[in-house]
Amino acid sequence: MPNFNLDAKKGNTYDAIVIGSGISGGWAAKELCERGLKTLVLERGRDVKHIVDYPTANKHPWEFEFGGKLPLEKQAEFGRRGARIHESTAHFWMKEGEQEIVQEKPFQWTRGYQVGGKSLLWARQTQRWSDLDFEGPARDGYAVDWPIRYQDLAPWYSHVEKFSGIAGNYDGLPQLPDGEFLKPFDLSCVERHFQKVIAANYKDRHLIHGRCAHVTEPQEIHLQQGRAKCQHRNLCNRGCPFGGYFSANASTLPWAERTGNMTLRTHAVVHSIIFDEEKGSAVGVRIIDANDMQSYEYYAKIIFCNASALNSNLILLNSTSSRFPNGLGNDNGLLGKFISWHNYRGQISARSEQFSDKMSKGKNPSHSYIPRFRNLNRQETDFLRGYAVGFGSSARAVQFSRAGIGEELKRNLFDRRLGHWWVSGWMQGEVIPIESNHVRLHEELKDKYGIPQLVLSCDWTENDDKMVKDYMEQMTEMFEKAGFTEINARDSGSAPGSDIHEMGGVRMGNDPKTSLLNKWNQLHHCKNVFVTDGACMTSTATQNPSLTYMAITARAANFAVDEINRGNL
Amino acid sequence: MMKSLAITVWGMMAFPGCKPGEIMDENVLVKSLPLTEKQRLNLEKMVDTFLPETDTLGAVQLNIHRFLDKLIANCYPEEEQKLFVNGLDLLEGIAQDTFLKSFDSLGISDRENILLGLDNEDADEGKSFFDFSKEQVILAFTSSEYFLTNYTNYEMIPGGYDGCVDVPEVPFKV
Repeated sequence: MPNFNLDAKKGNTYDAIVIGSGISGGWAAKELCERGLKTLVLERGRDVKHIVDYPTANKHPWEFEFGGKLPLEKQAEFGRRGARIHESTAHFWMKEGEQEIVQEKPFQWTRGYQVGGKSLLWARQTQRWSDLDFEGPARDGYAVDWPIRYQDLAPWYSHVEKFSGIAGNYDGLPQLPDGEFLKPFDLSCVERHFQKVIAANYKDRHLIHGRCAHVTEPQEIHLQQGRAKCQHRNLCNRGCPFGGYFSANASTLPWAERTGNMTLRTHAVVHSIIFDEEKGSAVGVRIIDANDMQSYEYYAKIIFCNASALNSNLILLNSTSSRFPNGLGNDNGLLGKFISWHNYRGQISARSEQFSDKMSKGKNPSHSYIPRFRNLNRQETDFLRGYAVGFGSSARAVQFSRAGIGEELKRNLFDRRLGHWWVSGWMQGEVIPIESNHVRLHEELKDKYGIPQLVLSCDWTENDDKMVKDYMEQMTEMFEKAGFTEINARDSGSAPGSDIHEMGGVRMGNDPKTSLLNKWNQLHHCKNVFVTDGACMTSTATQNPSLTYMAITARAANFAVDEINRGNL
Repeated sequence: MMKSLAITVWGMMAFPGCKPGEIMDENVLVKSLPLTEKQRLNLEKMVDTFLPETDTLGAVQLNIHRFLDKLIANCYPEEEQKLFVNGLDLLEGIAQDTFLKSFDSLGISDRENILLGLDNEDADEGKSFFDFSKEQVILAFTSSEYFLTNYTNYEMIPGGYDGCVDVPEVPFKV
């Protein structure tokens, strides 16, 4: 009699499993497949194939059936947000009820549950960390020391930058190391002016071109991926048919598929990682199929957890066994703790009276950027760390009046003129990870897949409030020096998470007593499980995080293959 | 000259009678508001009053009355649909009270005066009906292919970005 269980297990066995197909999961898949590992990629949502599954990518405004508004029955699928979601990107939003959570404190958790994850929706800004960031916790006495330094990651930054295509300017700033850049997007007249004003008034402050994952000069490696030059459509979040910006869908996943080593399993909601008590290691992943609601198991030598920061926490917390009753690798009880994110509360806008004889042409999918200047080389304020600033002034507003009705209104609508240059700045502050900011499993409540609901309990601290105040003061001063008018600096008071940069909970560190992952992103106590998405972050620095996840993932994936080849995994 | 201008009218694709092959999403059953013939005519005349045909096309030529019907019927909750239909009745009521005629049979200046009478904080429901209708007509008109491709610098694929160029001395579209 054939052993069906054994056969099934054989058919469900791979060399590696990657949980999640987003920005970091795509990189894990690419590296593992290229190194010859038969790799199963698990994605809880539906497939989104490059180009073919971008249904709105080429639609003109007048081609949306309801002018962009969703019909009521589609609005209802998204709950309260439904009325505000535009038809052009509705297909990439998570539907209401897909994963219920408990907000013990308000937390805006944005999830991209489809193949490609949030890499379809991201803001595409990509800056390297420097040792001023990696050494931050050690210098300023928070979190734990990072087990890696810039030199550990630098070659991997280069590795992922060359493949992804990063536009940027060589600025030579120690706090924001240069990368492998394609030519940057232009700065506008106002941005150039602000750049000069800052340089003339502040020694440590610099306005630079945004560094972003857009192919401005396609190289052979991008053409091989089937990607072309960015066309400046600024319709990125509909999916880009040119592959002009980096997404897992346009880049890493098709590359991995081409090796013949990747199997993509969609509608696979990961329940937990299976730990084998006898082997003392993880042996596979248990999923719930979102269509038939049945449980399935897949097996592999190594597992990469790239489910997105908070969902990776959830999966590990839910991976319990006699050895790990509190979650996989969680001997010290710190799993799910020290969650942090970026503080985007500080906002500022103003008008520029200058350059009325100048304008811009075309569209800029990026913006400019001011790297962190507070507490850079020494502590100088009453708060820890600092903030970077995104700054935008790409085009003059178009002005027309809406006054009157009839012929008067018509004349007004046709009387379009160039308006003023407006400028805006947004804060990207480092949030200090503290133990009380945490996620945990709810003891009773489950989601529709029978998976415990995640309780989110994160809040601002006084350090964040002080930083917002300083941002508003400093930016106002800089705007005044630039001659901007109608300056409006404000604290948006937004909830944690609205930055979509949530990190931590499974932090890296040297000491298994105070961290979950070692310097290679292996769980200290379960070495064949690697966590390389935002969950692994010991601290957040001020940079947009995706590039660092990519580099950390590529580094860990290559290490994992080396370890397999050395017989250690 | 008109023939050389690009014209696509709002709502074409929603009307199987016009272009049966172009219903974009078969899962969406496109509904219409439950309007009487009079309400339908008044909607058309209201849209025409906001943006009449002049030396350029008006809102009715761009089918914006049919677009609004479809938009409100499919994308707004029932209470708001009712408020909108009530607004159309309000126009009819004022026309009957003032001119002893139907709104749709009035000349443009009388129709303008009725609508402007609603553009007044004291008009309560009338004011919100006026504001909503005007905004929707403006949105639809300024997103139309006719308007964007003929009267603005609309370009789906600019292909590049120059951050600082001189404002041309000759007239240009913005």
